[in-house]
Amino acid sequence: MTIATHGVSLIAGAKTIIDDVSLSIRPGEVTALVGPNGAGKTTLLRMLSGDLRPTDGFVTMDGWPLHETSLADQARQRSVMTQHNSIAFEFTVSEVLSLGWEPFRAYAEFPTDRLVELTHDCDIAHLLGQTYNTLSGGERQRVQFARALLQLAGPINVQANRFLLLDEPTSSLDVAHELKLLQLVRQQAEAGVGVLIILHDLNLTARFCDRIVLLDNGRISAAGGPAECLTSEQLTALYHTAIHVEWHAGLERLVVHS
Amino acid sequence: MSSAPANLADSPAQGSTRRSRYSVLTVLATVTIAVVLVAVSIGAIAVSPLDALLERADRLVERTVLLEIRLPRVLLAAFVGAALAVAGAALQGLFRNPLADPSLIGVSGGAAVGAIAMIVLGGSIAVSATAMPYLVPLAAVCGAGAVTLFLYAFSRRFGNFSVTTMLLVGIALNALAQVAIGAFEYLSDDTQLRTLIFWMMGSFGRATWTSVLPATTVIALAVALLLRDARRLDVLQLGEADARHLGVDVDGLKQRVILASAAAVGAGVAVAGIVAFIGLIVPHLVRLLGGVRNPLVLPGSLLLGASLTVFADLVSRTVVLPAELPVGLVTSALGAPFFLWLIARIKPQ
Repeated sequence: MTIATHGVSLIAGAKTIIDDVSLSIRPGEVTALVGPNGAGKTTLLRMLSGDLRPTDGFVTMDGWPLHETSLADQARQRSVMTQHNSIAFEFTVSEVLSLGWEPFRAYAEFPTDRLVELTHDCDIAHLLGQTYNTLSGGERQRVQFARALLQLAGPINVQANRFLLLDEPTSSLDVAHELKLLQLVRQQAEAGVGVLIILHDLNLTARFCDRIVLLDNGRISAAGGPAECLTSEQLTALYHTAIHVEWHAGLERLVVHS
Repeated sequence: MSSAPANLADSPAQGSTRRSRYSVLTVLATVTIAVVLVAVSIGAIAVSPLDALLERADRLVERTVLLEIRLPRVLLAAFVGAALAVAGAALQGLFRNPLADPSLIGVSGGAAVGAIAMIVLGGSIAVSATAMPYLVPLAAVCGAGAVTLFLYAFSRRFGNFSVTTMLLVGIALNALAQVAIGAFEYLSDDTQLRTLIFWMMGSFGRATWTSVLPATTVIALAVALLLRDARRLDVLQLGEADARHLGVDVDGLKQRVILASAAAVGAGVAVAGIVAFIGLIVPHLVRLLGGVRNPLVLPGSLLLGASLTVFADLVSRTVVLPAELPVGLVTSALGAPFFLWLIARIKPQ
């Protein structure tokens, strides 16, 4: 089963922000949402996470309408990483991380082992005692990513699927941390999690994502595997900029030049 | 347990700055009991509470002073202090703003306007005297609730409320409250005027069992409601959307916090007037003692708010014997410098 939008639209006044979009996030796959600024990527993600109700169409998670699923049930199956801002009080990094366990706190033991693992994977073990607000943008992003992954570590019904929605999770990361984060995203997919990621870097999209959805002015202009979507013609039309895509035999992947 | 990740900290600072929740609360509870016992014993007439309770006090005067004057007064100070401090902590959490304080942002002013309106107008529409101890707090709760709702609607409209915007809005709301209070002063007779002056400064000097019992009942219920939401207020600090993604019903949480903090502040203001700065100082002191997590900050504020207010009241009624200072003067003398220190400490966002 999936998280899916069924012909969703969002109309605000005279402006159509999302126009009849149907897509699904499948377990075990990384789906990338790609498009120019203002195409509606974040808006679409906010519909998938239940923050925005579409004016037309509907969203389902594992077949159930999202707005009929309790927030607590949603939180146990689906984790979201938004583009984050600061916290008004002096929470430490480990306190922020522990909030990721909130959906399970009432009935499950805190997964200390998993947290230790995550803090090493995300390279934040040395930050645990620090105040979150003193961290750099990239460090905050790694903490929020680890928190989102901790939320996926809880015990759930075996028939239920898990989902991870990421809104530009690498926007402040250096190259090394960016690659590491995308490798961790792949690991999650291999463990059965359905991932949706908004990415701007087309090379990383080609390298790490199974399916790509190109969003143009609130509409899907193409959807499919990297080879189908990431073509010179489609990307040039999408971004109104000359973009050239070629297969790199040595790297064995698509390389995008702009 | 949520304390588990704290054990992972490599930083040696963490263990020392984040003392365990139970040790902080135990210390604060001990302090509260001690302050209450001292406050009951000291005053214009010294009374040993033990003697009085064991009926060893042979003089009727001592028993009367203790049971009819001092005990209700100290209890009222404790409850109002707890109410203001917990409401302050909860509003700071709700608005995600460390400078939210019921008196600074106009919630106490709204409560005072409600209560004064009932005192002045209720007299002229011939409300029975027995109903007044209930109607005045009710009007105060409505006034506090109206201001909190307005603040909340305002903050929604302007996206995220900055720390400064909230204080500026508070200045405007307090000015409006002054206008309303001034108008009621003009309408009121001599005895009512004396009551109004008492509102503006805050005092526990008029505590009697008939005024204390309704107020403390409302406060106890409201504070209990706020304490239940401590964890959810923590999650809310990540932002409304993120809190929702973690399963928190943010809209329900906001409604409960607005209603309960308005009830706590309104009931307190109705019986004691505006006791400023308790809701600002106390939560920050608790955070300095044991960290920012609300499962500590809310119960810690309850205890420290009670003991600090009882102490301020003790100072106000003993420092210039046989006369008495308004307790609001004492809390403001403590609170205003603390407020300046806090402003200097908060980094621009």
